[in-house]
Amino acid sequence: MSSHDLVITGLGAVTSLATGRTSTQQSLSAKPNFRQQNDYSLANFKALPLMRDKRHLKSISHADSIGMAGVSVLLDDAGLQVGAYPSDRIGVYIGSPSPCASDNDGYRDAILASSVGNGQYDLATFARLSHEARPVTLLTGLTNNVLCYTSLLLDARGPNSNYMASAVAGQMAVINAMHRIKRGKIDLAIAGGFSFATDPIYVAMLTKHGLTQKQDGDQNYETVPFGLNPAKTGMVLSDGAAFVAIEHRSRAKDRGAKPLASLLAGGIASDGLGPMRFHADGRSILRLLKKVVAEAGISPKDVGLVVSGALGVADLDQAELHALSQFFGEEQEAPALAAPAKLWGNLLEAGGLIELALVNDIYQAGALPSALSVTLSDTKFGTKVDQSRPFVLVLRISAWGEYSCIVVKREEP
Amino acid sequence: MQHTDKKSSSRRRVVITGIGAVTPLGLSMQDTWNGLVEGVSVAGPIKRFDASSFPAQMAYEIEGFRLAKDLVLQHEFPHMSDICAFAINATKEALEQANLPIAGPVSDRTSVCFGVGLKCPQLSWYDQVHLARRFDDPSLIAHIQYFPDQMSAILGRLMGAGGGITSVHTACASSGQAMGEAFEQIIAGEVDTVLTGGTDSMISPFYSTGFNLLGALSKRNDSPKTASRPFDRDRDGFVFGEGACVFVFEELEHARARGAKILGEVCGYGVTESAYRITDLHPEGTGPVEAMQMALDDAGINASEVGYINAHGTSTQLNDRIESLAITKVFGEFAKGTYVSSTKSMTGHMIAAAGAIEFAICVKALEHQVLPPSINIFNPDPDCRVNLTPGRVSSHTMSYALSNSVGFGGSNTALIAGKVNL
Repeated sequence: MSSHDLVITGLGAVTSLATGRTSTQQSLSAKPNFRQQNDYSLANFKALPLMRDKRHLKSISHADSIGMAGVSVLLDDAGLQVGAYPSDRIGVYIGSPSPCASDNDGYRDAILASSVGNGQYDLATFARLSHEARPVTLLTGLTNNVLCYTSLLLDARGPNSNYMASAVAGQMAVINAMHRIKRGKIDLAIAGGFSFATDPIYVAMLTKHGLTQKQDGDQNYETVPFGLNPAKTGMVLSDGAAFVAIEHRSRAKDRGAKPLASLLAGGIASDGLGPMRFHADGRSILRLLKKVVAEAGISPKDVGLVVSGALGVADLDQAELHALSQFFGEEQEAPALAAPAKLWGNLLEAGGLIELALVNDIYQAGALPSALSVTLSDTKFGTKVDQSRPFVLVLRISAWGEYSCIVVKREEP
Repeated sequence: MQHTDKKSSSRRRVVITGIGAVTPLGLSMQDTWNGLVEGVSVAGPIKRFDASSFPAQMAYEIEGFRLAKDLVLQHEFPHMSDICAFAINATKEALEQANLPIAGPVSDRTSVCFGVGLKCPQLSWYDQVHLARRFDDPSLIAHIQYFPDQMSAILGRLMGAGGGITSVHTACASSGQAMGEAFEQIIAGEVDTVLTGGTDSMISPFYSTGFNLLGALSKRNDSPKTASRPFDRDRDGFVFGEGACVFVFEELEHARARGAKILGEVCGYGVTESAYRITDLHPEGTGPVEAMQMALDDAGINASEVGYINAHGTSTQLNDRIESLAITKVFGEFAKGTYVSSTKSMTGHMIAAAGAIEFAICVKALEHQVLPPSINIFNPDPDCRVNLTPGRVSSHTMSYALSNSVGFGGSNTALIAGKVNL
């Protein structure tokens, strides 16, 4: 077992279902009634009431505003203020989405006025009119805005990074933050990710690549299969933010913060086959599972709950399921298997994070809530959570053949 | 600062076994280095688009580039932007130099950690697809190029990376940060070999307008070749460059075991946040000061052992003055034996790739024991109290060189290269 006793001491969750830790905990027992893509969207989300510093909304994109709302909610939940830790001992690690076309809306009038048809533009007109745009227009599309403004909120001046890795980006941020604390580089990390995947161009583009759930005839998101089901045809994209605070247990105790879970290990892996190519047998996922469990100093029989990536892309779901089946072997009793996409969709960069802070709630219930459950035949995974197996694996799967996994432990009752 | 000799500790050591580059100075690392040694500026009026009505009309553009198409699989072309193409060619050169197979067997001891630039939106695409809400437009299939991790995934295939693919974007600090994280991955024992570096181009109407609105671009349009003049009293902004620089970082014993030629050592890494303003450095230079000091501590060396600093040196009034101040706080004013230059006067500002090419220049400077020249300094800024390298390449005996990067958003990185002395 690792000698580092790191704990998660706050959750900043903003999803279409709930905002804040308490609401998100309550949503576990909800019965979502999502029928269409827009139900998972935060396109009309207003970050202003949640913001710690409202000035930060002046020159950021809508996606960034979702992220900053998540950070603000986290800082409140974790009880963090400037001065809680020395500035150079605070690290900020963010998983950010790719830029949106709408980030350039500040030039809209200049583009429209300069168009001369047939995809041609009078650049002299564009040059003249675009320079009437707000000076900060460029900054709206800066993909590390949330890293910067989060650092400003806490005067965080330690190591940091900003990852653009789609569905594994947020976990990548948490994993790297955790490793920096273990290596003694920082003492507190703010880590997580945010997404605005229901941007119409994203949805249209990913649909063209065959990665989104088809909605044929009467089928809708309330009735389509979720979670590792072979009948699944693609991702259900959603928007949101999820951030956690990570620190040493002793330091958390000193400042009166309540640990939500122990953070033990994490890692990333890739198939190395290029974008949208992956091993159907899930070999890289299996390798990753072995690696993180070894880092955590536990064995598969210690694991009571697996939160799957369950991307929704049938072949990848089957690869994941195959890897999990191999990992837990034929003989031992398998853990409970959860698939959160039905609750809050595929949060892409914000995915695989909320669950880290909710493991106690799931263990206390003793069984997975129906909204997280997976109904699968021919597998040994169940819904009952074995209290004597306190370790949890939270997996993420990317359509680019990239994977991440984090090991947490529930807090003792 | 107290010298803590980590070089003799049991920490895994990281060496460089391959470098590839595609820059305005040349389509290989050697050609780029040759141009640097000659002190050449290749800036000129922008050819990529008609910039004659823009306040800033010049750039360092890459010419004569041809993608190594044989390295790209048919289904990957829609995923591939122009900056990805730069990175592919640079990767080929780096892997060949490292004597590693291209698209060879996948290993879980190999990873990619790359500083990714952002594809420039096109006016027509923005207008005819985004504004027109034409979500059935066939061109949308290639919108996936706006996901920067697509290029890293392609590089991951070329590298055979099973140990994870990390795409970092922290503006102009992106590749400095990616290389630092690659270095740390090897030290931590997560992997033995990492493909790292960065790629970018922002030569476009959108970005030209955007940076100009912020007052960051030089408007010395009547003299493009001398427009980028870091540390000159009369500097007035940066000039866009573009390109890619790719490294193979490798654990020392791993490299030795396979008989790889070692080009240099990665000795230390520092990374901080300024937490001040999104576009400005703190007036006291605190972020870069802390990053440089962190890198020195990490390398276990004293400031006096660094013979050359490749500064971020953008040629903006603010950056060069504050960065100089930061350097003097760590190294002392006009520190004896420590010389500073900004090679952006010859490459232009390669944005997310800047840290990578500038670290490569540090490695080459150590290899040849020379100081890259400072060009376009007609009147040294008296507020920049550092020893600028001479206008021509000159010999200098040194063991370490440091590369600084500073990004919009406040990220600062410092990387220390060491001469091959194993």
